[in-house]
Amino acid sequence: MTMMKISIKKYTAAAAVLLLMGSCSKDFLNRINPNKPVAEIFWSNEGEVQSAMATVYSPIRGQMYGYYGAYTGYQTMNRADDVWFLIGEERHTWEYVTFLNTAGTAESDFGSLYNGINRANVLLYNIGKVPMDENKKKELIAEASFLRGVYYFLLATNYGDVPLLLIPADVDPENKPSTPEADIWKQVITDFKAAKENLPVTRPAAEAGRVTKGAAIALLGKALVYTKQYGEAETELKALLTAPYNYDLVENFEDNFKDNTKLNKESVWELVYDGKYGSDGIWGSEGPNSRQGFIIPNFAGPAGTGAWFKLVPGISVVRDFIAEERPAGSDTRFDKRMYTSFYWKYSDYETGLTDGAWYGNLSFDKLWTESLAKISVNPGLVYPTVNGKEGRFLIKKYTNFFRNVSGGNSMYDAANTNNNFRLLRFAEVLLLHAEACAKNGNTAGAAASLKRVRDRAGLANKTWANADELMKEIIHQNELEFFFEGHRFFDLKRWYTYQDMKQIFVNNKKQGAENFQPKHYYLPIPESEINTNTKIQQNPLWR
Amino acid sequence: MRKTALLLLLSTCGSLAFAQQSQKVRGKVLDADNKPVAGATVNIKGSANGTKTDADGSFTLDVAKGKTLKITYVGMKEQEILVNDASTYSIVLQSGTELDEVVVIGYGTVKKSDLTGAVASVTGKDLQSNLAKSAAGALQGRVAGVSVSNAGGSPGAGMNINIRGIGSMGSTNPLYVIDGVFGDINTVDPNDIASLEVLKDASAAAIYGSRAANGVVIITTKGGKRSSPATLSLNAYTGVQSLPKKMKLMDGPQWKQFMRDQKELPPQAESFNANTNWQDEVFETAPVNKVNLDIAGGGERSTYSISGGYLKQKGILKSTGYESFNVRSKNTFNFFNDHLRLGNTFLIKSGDRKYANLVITDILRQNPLLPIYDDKVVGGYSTYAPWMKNLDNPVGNLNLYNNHVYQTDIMLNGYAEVDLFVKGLKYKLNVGINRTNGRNYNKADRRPDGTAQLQSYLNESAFFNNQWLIENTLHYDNTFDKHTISLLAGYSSQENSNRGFGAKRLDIPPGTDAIDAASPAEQSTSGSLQEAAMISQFGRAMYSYDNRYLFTATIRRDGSSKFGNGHRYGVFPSVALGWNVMNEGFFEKAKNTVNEFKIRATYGRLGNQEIANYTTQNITTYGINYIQGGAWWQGAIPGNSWVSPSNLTWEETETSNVGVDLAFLQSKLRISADYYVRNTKDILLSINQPPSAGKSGAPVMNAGTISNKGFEFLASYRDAIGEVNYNIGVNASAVKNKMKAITVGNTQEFGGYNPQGEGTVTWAKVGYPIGGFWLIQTDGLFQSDAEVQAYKSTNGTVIQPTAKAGDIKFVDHNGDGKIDNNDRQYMGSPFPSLAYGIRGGVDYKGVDFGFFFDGMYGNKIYNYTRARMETTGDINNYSIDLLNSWTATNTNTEIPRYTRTDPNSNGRRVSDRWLESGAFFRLKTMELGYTLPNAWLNKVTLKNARIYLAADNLFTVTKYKGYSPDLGPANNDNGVGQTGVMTAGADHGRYPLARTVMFGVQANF
Repeated sequence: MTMMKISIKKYTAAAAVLLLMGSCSKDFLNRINPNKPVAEIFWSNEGEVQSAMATVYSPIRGQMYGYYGAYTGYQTMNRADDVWFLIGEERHTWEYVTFLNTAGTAESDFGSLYNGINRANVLLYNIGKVPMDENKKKELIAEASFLRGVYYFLLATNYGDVPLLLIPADVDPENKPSTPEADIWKQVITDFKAAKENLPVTRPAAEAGRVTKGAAIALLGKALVYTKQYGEAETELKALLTAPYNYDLVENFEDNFKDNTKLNKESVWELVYDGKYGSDGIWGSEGPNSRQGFIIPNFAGPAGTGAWFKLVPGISVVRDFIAEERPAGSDTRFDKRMYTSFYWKYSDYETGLTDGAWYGNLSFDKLWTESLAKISVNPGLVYPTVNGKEGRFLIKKYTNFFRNVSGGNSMYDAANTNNNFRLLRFAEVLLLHAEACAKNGNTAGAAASLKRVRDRAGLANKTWANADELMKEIIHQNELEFFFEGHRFFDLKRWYTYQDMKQIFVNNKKQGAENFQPKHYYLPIPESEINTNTKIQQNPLWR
Repeated sequence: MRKTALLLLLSTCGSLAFAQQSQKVRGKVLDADNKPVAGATVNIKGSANGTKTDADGSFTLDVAKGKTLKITYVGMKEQEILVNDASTYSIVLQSGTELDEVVVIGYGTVKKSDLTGAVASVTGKDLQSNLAKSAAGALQGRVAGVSVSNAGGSPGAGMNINIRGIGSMGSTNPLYVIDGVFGDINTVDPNDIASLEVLKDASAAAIYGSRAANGVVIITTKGGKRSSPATLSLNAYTGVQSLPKKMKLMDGPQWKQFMRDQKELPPQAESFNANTNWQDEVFETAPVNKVNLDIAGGGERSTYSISGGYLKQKGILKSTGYESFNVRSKNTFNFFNDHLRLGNTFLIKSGDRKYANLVITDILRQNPLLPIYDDKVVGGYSTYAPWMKNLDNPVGNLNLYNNHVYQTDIMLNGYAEVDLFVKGLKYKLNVGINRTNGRNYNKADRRPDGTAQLQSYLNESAFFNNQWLIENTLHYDNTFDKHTISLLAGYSSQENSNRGFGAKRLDIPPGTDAIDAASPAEQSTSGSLQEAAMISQFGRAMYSYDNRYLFTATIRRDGSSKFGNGHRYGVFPSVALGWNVMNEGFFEKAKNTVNEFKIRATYGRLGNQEIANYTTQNITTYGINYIQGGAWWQGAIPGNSWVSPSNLTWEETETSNVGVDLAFLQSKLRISADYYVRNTKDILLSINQPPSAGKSGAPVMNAGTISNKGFEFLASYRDAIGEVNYNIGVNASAVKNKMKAITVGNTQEFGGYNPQGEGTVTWAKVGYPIGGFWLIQTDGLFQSDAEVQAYKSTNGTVIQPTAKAGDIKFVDHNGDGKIDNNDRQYMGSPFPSLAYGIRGGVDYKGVDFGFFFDGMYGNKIYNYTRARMETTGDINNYSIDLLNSWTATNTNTEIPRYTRTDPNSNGRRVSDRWLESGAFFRLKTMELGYTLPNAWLNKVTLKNARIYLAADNLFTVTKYKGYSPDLGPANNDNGVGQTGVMTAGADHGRYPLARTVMFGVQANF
């Protein structure tokens, strides 16, 4: 019996040990994520900084979402009178373009711009500790500063007062209130100046597409023009007209919008796309397998070309294009750029040209017929007549007019998505330079730059009596040169008071012109920020 | 502490069973009226040895002293007698009641009369599990407080089971325990269910601590009986499923005329003359067949049960279907005079689910003028014309895509239980292994999208889920005089790992079916590994005194790998009290009227850790790429994604429950009622952060408090009139759900369902139900432009300046003189104020008839399907109701004027125009059976046989205009896109529920 009791004691003790085993199993519960390396081991060599740099570029190039994304930003930024958005298409776009948007309107790119800023901040914050070549380090710092400057530039122009974050959210997780727009601009200029110091003038082939010193100067000049610091702007921009920079306009305007003439001499900065990278869909921008294709043709192309056909030219841009014909004896009747900007049937309005055929030799008549169902429900969408004939125009710029294949605008075929987006063309440098010169009273400088743009368009030589006349022409050329490139709204905002801008919209029969109010100079801080940031206040105009 | 307690126990009960000699025992079994009970079974407890009483109720048996005799007789209470020095025993059996049924609780069983928690127990028979296609489907409507709803009706898709309201913003699935192993209810063939117990309150579920906050469902599969010959049972049915309801749409000529009348008919449409009824083309009457075979029996020392099942079901949506087979084996073995008991359950299920990604609303919106086929188009099916809305050809979609989930689930459970050297003390080792291996297969042929052609692809991904569980438990059960105690202590550890990888290539050549067939030029790959581990210690003490006072206390401590060091462990205690009032002396007289009367009260805390793994770990984000120099530029950066706070810890649910169980009329009428308050604090929820921080994702945080208060009622009555036996049962439950507090962030709300990004419709706001509908109220139509101008705010501004006669008048809820999203107000919730089930059965001679109704009342549905059919911006087909659109001559209508530009936003999503009552009353199942007379069966050596005709989802009475009002949280099928608790009652276009009529046979050989 005693023996028995002892053995029971042993059993019980063993059982008790078993029960208490949990306390010594710390390792069993310690599970480290095997999918992703932990953050602590990053920042050990230049390669890692280089891969971090790719992520800083990413938000701006997002093919669907992102500031130049076809589904969100690109539709939103084209909210001026040069583009019409067809009824019945994306609801969020409709609200933005007709000035019925609210802080709750979907697909604001506010957040994606800050994604870029945070990544730039993370890179700039950590690069100091990376053992690598010091010159290379300076160049990478310049590149990250450049991109941060771009993101703040876009925030300032679109939203005005916004939070200013210069160190990573990880390091300083506090919510931030908005900083006045003027201070955001100061940061933009600081960043571009820093970029300008250490960016290379040219990139080796292996780095083609990454930003250069020229891009930094161009954007610095643009920021200075936007902030009306014309003197400094003129100096900066002028530097780009001479060596070591050999930017020039391409002879063929069309070459700015074709997939086999990417990164040409007119390109100051392009967003690079290539459908062959990634094959896991187009909608997700930042997945490891996301396809990095150029999607705008799928939105802008006419019906029947594999596109969704959501946009058409505004009425006024057609009117302004046909207002100035080329000199008698020219090979075309109209401004050369018009032939790249719009599809139309040449034989309707002029002789001597062969009518175009696209997307498997479809005639313009065919494109128009297919597109008419969507056009006809838009009240007021009537183009000026030419020679008494009905005006019929569709957007050609940034569609795949150069691919004569059926359904050639469809994003579902990777081969249709290889164009680059020309974010900053030398033509813009010229017009910004002209603008700065005109404002500084340097009429000769303004006229010279203006002439280069007009010459390429095939327009006659012209002289202007004074700076005001020059400015009028600069405004006009900006409208034509950058039709459907997302410039027009920000140009008008820069040049005109609210009343004038509204009148322009009304005169130009812009859709929703009557809804335009001072607050529409800006987009509201989106609800998603207002709801989560304890410190922020809505833009005063939107309160 | 534990050690001391155990030693204490040991010293109090020194006598050991093993050392005893056999002796001859005589006894007599009598009933309450002192009449002998002939044929009663007398068994030595824990062994196969036993005998039956003879005609005068007497028996003789060789029994060792200290053993217990168990005397059972059909219809009478089982009784146990401890064999002591006496050699004759007189045993009086009381007439039996259901209270003596044994109910399975966590890590053990308890007599129903000793139960203190809120536990619902249903048998396989009550579930009509012979008819069900899935175990979850069988449970629907059967148990008060348990809501089973459809995520989508496609064959093989899971269902949502939710116990006592929404207690969490994350997973609300209960914990399933299948023969002692944590598993998935979908792996169990309903025909294999012997009983199913739902542990609803904290006290009952507390032994499972963590993971039990959403309740526990314990499934016990069928086993064999000892000393019984092998029985072969067959259950087979064949049935047809059909679409019970179709949406009424315009046909081709109607649409053409309508658009012509509206002056909106595109000129190109004139030449289109097809008249396709897309609903007719994609839905079909589909067969379903199911066969189950099982063999069960047992020897002296073992029992066995082996079963197999096969289900083949085609979906009512063409091309969809589900095929599965399962095999199960459950065995028990006894050695050393029953002192060592071994057992196992092996279960394997292998299924092939074929689903469609056809967007259901595309069927309804596709233009009837579009023909089905077009041999000039790649793939052979026509594609939308440029003037039409860009919707898939529904028939083409079903045929050009091929989507399967092939999945094999294996569950292995083995246990060994040994009596230790103290009477009533035993040790159990329980080991469970679950494996789920499978493959997703998604293939698409080359196909059109308007004028464009889409590339073919093949995308396959394999998944390997492994889970193991080891549990060690010590049990001590004993009775001293009037004291009955039952103690449990246990330790368990478990690990779960999911590994998966996939590959996809584009342009897979026609006729091939392997990824290698396509060029690697366009390919993508993926892979992941998820691991989670948990360690738990738990204990339970149950005590009852004199069958009158019952007490249960439970505690469980769980450690989870999902939380950071220092925050891993949660401790979850509970207590329960029960009082069998009818056993009190003072109740003696009333006992003839009120046969049973028990009051229960429980309180407990439970945990929930159902969040993603590794959320508190800071990682580098990869795959944010760009292009440089014409080459892919792979990007990676730390600090890009939000990380959960390091002090993230368990979500805790606190439940208080009071309940009463009553029986009347010789226990023919039984009533149970429970009231509970369930508060969940520190809910685990992903909290959106300011976009200006520039980081992606949303960290999981302990974010707030949710409250559920509910009432459950259960009544049943069974009786006989002559040879007609009948029974009827009713269950009803009501629950009020509320977001009580939000403890993070800037606002007291979280947004939910947002159809196509067109506006957030469901919200969790403090003071309101989770997933409640917040919409702008409509107030009829403006009958004239003058009415529009007269509709002014207090400061005189016209509220809807862009409206015209025939447009919807919206209520300016915030009074700011304009209509926008700030005018949203609470308009109801997807959860019913009352959910109920009514079950009944009658049998007479060989004929039996059973029915089961279920229903809901007070719930709302957001009918996005209708929103799409009635919205007028696009050139697509419309609901036939649009023929009744407002015009100057047709003013008595609720349908606003037809306008493509819709300046007044009649089609806005955030509007109660799309909100409907979701109340329904449904004949869920009906079954008519005939048991063949024995005389016929003897000739073919059948023990018994029954044939039946049954129907599932036969009819539904509802005002809801969509396909089905039975809408739980959505799954991802058919383009629904959004999932989670906030999609409950949001009909984004779900796969319609089928009506099934079946004929079946059950036979035992």
